[in-house]
Amino acid sequence: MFAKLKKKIETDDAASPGKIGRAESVTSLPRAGSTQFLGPSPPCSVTSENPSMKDVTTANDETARLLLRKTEQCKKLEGNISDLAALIKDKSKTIEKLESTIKQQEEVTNKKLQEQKEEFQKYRDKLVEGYQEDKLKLDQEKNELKARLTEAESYKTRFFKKEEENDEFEDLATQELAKIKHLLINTEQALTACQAELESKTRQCQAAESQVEKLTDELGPLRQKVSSVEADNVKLKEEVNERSELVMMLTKEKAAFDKRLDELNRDMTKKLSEVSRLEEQLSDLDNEHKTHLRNSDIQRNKSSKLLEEKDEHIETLQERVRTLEQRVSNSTLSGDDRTAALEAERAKLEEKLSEARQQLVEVKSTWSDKITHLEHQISHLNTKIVEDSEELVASQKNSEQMREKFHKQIEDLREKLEEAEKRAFENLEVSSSKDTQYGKQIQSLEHEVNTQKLKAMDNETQLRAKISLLETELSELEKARQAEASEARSKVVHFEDEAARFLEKEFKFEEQSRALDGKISQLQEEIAKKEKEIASLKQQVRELGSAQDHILTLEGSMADAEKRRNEFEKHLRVSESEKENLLERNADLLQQIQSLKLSHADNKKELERVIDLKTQTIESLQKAEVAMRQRLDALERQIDQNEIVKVESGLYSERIDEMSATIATQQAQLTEKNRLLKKQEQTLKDLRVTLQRELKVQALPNDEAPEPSLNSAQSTTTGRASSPGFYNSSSSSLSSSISQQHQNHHNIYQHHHHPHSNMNQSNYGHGNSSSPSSQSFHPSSSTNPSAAVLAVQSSAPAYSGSSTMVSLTAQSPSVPSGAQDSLTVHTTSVKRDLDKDVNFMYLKHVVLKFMLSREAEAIQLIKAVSMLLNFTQQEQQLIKDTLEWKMSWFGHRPPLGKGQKAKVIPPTL
Amino acid sequence: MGGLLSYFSGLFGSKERRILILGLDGAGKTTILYRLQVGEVVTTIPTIGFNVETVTYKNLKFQVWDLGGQTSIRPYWRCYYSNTDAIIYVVDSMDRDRIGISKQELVSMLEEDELKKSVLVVFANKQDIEGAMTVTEVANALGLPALKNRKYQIFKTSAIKGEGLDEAMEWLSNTLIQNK
Repeated sequence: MFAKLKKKIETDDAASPGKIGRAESVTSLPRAGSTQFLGPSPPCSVTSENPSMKDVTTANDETARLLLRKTEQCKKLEGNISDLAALIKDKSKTIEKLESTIKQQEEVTNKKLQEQKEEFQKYRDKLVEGYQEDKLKLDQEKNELKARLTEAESYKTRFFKKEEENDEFEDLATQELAKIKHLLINTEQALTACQAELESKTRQCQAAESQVEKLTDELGPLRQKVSSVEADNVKLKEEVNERSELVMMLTKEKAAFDKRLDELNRDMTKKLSEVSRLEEQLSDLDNEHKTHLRNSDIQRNKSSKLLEEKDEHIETLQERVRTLEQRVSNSTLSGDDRTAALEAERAKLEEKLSEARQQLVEVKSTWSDKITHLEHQISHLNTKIVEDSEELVASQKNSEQMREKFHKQIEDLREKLEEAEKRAFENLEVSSSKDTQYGKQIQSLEHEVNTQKLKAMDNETQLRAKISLLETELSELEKARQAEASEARSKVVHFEDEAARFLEKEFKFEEQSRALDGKISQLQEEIAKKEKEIASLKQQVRELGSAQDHILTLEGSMADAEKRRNEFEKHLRVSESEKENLLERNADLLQQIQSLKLSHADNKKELERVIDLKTQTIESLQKAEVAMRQRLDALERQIDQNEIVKVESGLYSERIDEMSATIATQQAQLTEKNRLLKKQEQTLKDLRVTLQRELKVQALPNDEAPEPSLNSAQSTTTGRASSPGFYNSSSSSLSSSISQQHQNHHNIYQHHHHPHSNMNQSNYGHGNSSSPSSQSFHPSSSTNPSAAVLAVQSSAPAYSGSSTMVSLTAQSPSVPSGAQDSLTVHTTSVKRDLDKDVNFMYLKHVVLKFMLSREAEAIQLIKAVSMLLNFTQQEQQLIKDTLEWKMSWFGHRPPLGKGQKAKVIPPTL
Repeated sequence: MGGLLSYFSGLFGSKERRILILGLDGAGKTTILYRLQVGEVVTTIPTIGFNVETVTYKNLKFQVWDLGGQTSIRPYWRCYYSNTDAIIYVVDSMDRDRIGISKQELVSMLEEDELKKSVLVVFANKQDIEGAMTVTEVANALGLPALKNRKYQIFKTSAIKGEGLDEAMEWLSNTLIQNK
């Protein structure tokens, strides 16, 4: 850009140096003039008036002085008038002089012009230098901008990197979260599994304990079962016995039934024969009955005939009696009368004869009828006989069939009997098999019981048995020992008693012997004394000899006693040896007992060890449980940690949110910077355009237009008050329109910002955070004219205050001098930005729909539109009322103001 | 003219029920709206603004408002809350990342006074895609079980396949008739 510009400028310089020279001379003039005009010349009059106008306190003195001066001046002037009159003459002279001097001055002016030209050339050089300096500055700016661009790009790249990093962080965070979740789930699963294991182990423990209990409990039921099974066995045996008895009974019954069958068969045959007899008898009796009936009929007939004959006979006899009575009566009569009577008799007799004949004929006919009837009867009877014979045959057949049936029935009964026998056999077999099964079951159960008993009780029973045996043996041995000891003791005691007795006896004997010795001595003394009495004493001597014999016998008995004593002593020794043996045995037994006790103790120890092992296992299980609980606790801690981690991750997410917020802000900043960059580029373009324009304008004689662009710094210092002086009204209105647009824009943005602040959501922080950054750009606007343009354009998204806006609007006229083109560029850029903005698109959409839809529908959008455009409550109400008025048929139009405050276009009609 | 029409419609036509379709961007609100109205799947662009259609179901007229769900224009939802009979809240069942934001939006929406009496229908949309969250997952993620003093129902829907929409509209019309 700048390079091109430079080139262009250089080419232009090269192409038309004279033009530039002239142009620069032209451009230099007004400034000099202006500086001269603004600088020294006017103050003479103005400064004289200004103090008098301004300083009132000092005015009086000054006025007094002035009055004095003026009076003096008046006097002077009065003096001067006359002087002037003289002077006029002088002046007329001097005019001429002056005319001459003018010529001189013209020459001077020419000289001055030359001097000024020289000055201008110098100034031009200076300007060129300034230009070059400006160029350098621009280059520097460009470099700075490039640096900024690079910085921005680096920032961008860094930002993208950060974004990527953020994404990565997010991904990592999500992954970590997922991992943590997984870990949590795993740990939970592990926990549940551990718990389940714990539960299962506790259950197993309990189950094992319960099994032990059950087994111990089951032993009882098994015993009971065994007992019950034994009872069942007994019952079954009883049943078997019963069944066998039943079978016996059945066989007996069967035999009885056979017998009865035979009997019944015999009875049957007998009865059949009887039946046949009875049938024969019946037929005979029937025949007899029939014959009797016939006989009775015949006799009845005979009797009836006889009665009839008798009646007839009686009648004939009565008639004869009458005839005879008539004859008797007639006989009394005369002859004629007799004859007449006879004749009458004869006639009567003849009549009777005819009647008898007729009767005879009738009888004959009746008899013939009877005969025919009888013949019929005979034939009928013959047929009946035939039928009877047939019936007989049929009955015989029936009887045969009956017999056959009976036979069949008998056979059936036999078969049934056989079946019953079979069933009995089967029952027997079944019972036997059941017996065997039950026996087997019993045996197996007994076996099991025995085995279990053996298993369960084996050691204990054996040990107990051994112990008991040993104890019994011990007790027996002890008893035997005790008995023997007691016997020995008793014997010893006895012997000792006997010994004592013998000793006593010895003592007695010794005493006796002593006494005897004493006696002997006495006797010897007596002998010595009684030698004289020997004769007498011989007998005594004899007695003494007997006594000596007695002593001898006693001595023999003594010896015997001693022998016995020795024997007893031997016996004692033997018994003592026996006792020793017994004691030895006892010691052995005691040793055995001790060994048994030791073994018992060993067993006990083993059992205790087993118990210890079990307790150890229980303890280990408890330890395992404790460990599991610890693990549980650890896992719970882990869970807590995980929760903490979660919380941390929450914090992390908060940090992420913050980061994302910062990212958003950075994004906003970036977008703003991008915009700024674009705008800078645009401003550069504008500058270029203006430069080109300037370059073009330089050719034109119009002087004032390019000035502010060249000397924008001056215009910024002069401010708005001076601007109308430099611009025509159209440019100022344009600038104001720009400012209005900006203001509108600003309003829109402020409004857009409004709901965000209302919602108070942290996500939409870019508006808040971006404002200071945009404000940070502001200071540059005051120093840099191009940056002022930046600030104008950046202020739109920056939501800066209204005061800055005023300053911006004040500065805005100083922006591009070639107003129209740059403005269009600017507005298009703004539009482009707006088109991208979602809020503007939303506003556009809603307002368009609001405008295009009917009142009834549009009324629903008032709220949205008023919120978007930041309407006040009154404005909102006004729109609502207006729409309702439009919808209604009657009613008043709401007040919409008049004149300048009118809010509607007045109706054209 | 418009006033006349609206007047007559007010005289003769039964009153339309106002329904809002809300939800995050890309949840399928516009697709659901035109599926309900036309019965076809139409190609949609992101809604910046809103769409209004009149849907007739079981002799009931619904004026269904489908409001754009982008983040920057979500705050304008509240401009449309007044006189709303029912809210159809559409959730993208595949979007597990933003379900939290969806919940926030739902909660802040339900706190509005203007929606105190309106019925809530939640559409767990995009159920035709494999790996989508189940109805219960969506309900729990949105914190629906914690809702009180609110008639609501969640449906699993697929706007593309048109599944679940009829049941939801059936339920909605029944509840609106009962409420009347």
